[in-house]
Amino acid sequence: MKSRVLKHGFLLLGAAVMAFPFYWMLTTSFKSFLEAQSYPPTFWPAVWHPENWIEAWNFPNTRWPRSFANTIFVATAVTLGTIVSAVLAAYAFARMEFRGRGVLFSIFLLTIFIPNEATLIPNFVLMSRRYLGWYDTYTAQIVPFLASVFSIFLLRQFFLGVPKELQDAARLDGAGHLRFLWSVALPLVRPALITVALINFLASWNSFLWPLLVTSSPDLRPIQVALLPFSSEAGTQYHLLMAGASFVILPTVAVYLVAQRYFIEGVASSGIRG
Amino acid sequence: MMRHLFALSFAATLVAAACGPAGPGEQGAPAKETEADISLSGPVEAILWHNQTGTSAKLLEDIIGEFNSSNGKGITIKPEVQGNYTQIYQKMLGAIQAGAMPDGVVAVENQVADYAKAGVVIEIDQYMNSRKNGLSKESLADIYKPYLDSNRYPQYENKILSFPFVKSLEVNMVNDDLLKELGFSAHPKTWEEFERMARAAKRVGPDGKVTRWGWAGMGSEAFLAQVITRGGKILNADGTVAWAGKEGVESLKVYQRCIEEQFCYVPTGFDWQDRFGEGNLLFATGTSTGRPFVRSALKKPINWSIFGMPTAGGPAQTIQFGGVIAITKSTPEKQLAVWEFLKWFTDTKQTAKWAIVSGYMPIRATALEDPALKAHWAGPDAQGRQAFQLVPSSAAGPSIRGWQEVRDAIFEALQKVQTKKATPEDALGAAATKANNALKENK
Repeated sequence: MKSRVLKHGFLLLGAAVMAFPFYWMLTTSFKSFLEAQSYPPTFWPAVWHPENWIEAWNFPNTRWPRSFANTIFVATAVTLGTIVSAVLAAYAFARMEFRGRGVLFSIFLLTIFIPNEATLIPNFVLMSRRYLGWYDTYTAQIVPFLASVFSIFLLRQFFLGVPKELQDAARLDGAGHLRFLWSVALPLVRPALITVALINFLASWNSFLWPLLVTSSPDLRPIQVALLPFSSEAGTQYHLLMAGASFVILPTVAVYLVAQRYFIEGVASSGIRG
Repeated sequence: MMRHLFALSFAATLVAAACGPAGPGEQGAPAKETEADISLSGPVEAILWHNQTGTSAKLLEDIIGEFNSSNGKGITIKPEVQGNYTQIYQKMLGAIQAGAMPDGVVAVENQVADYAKAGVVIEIDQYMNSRKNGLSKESLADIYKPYLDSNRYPQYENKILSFPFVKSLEVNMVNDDLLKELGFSAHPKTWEEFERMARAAKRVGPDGKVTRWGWAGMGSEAFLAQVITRGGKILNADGTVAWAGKEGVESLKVYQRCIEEQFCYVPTGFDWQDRFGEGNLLFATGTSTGRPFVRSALKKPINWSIFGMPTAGGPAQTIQFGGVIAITKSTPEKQLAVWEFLKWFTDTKQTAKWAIVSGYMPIRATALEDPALKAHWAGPDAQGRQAFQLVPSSAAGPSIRGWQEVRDAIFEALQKVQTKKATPEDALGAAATKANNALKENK
């Protein structure tokens, strides 16, 4: 009994730590400019300012509907594309025999360790008119993210867990790799697919520096870049920034809540921790 | 095609120059014709990467829109927000390699020096002095010298490689009510007075915690301003740093005492504005552009003002800084288009208007005569005028490559003193070594 209480207490503490930034963001979004900067900080708005949300929505040089539409389009395209490429690659690494498979997979994994900062400028150059000509397009925001090594790794672990007997049985029935993948393997790894979808969707949704670099037109920029106007050289309007951040993350919180069960299942089954 | 167009317009310019009256840049001897002397014969679009956000960005766009519709030369400037200075710099590094640069770019001076090393920015001297498209002698003299000087690059024969865009100063803000309450009748003239007043402002609560502070805002610029006002220099003639001598040590010793005796408030961001707004901070050293934020942070009516740097044997000088615009190498037409915009944007009416809406300093003396700015400074922004009065005696930090690393080294020294990890002498010694190495690498 005592250990159960301790366990729950510990879990509750962990949950509080994880939830606190969201609580802070939400409450700050309703504070006045002064209260948002006050020290010691207040944990509950002295006077509620719901008008902050309207002010943030109408803030000069923000185009929220357009920014939301851009992000939804880019995040959806990245998610779908990544799932297709990751499923095919992961299946090949898990279920197909070919020479150098292990070495190739190790090389794939090693690319995870290359920091984004190191590839930022070369990738930007690649997007320019001199090379691919994708600068200031949706393509530049989508295509570079269509292959995700982490997603391949995650799905491969799941495909490895699909019993070999099922594949043998499918083969006896005349199914090739694609048929087996589509009809048998994919339904079995649904939690992993949803996890991959969520991770990539969230990463794309939260993307800031890359879209800022590869776009110039406000009409192509996503919502994270739309938060820029709240900060300037001389100061930041935290109350409005938090209001903006709140409505930026609301859709992702909704998606997460809907797909939460699969996400946890996927993470737990693959042995991957946050 | 562009070459032919250029050749044609260049030839036309020569003919026009031979027949026409003297241009604004004429100063005696006939100047050699350059690509700055062409005429624009058709619509030109030029892209400007800048860092203004929110209200300032909107106002800048409005001002640019006014230029686009009124310039009568077919010039369209297309402003594009590209993040802060660092993000623009990162993007420029890629854009240089990719050959996809904008036609004008906002930067700080040491970044422009980097662009110059890459050979991608043009000399603005030829445009300023152009017989046809330049600035008149009177117009040039109207621009405050420190603002122009900061755009001369010693590593590039002191050529002008950029032009002022958003200018600020390191200033001292003071709570005049508190100063009076403490029994002082005037702003400090010397650093000794400054320290004495700041120390007197410290108040301790019943729990032993400090609840009121004397000073906040010791950063790299504040440190350099102190060095100058103590009679020191920023750089030696051989290009090594000069701030690590006795003037620098004395400046850091003031800071050390301030930290140890706890009359300094150590900010974690812009929270000093909050202390100031509560009436619990006597002096704050920072950018003049922070005025609107300080005003917004006032929790009660407080009489506050801006004053320059106290002295201790040196001139009463402060440091000025801020963004500049560099023109990248593109076509003569686009280069001229950006120059025409800069010329217009920095003219009296526009510089005054921009000062009102953005809080940055106007760059011309005649801006003082602008009725709208006069009214603004007489009314809601009295501190703006106080800051502006410090411009003529301000000095710019060196516009050299490696200067950001020098600032970082100074900041590191300040941190060491603040966290009591080093004495002022040791901290400055280490910082000077680091800074000199950075300057050597960037020579």
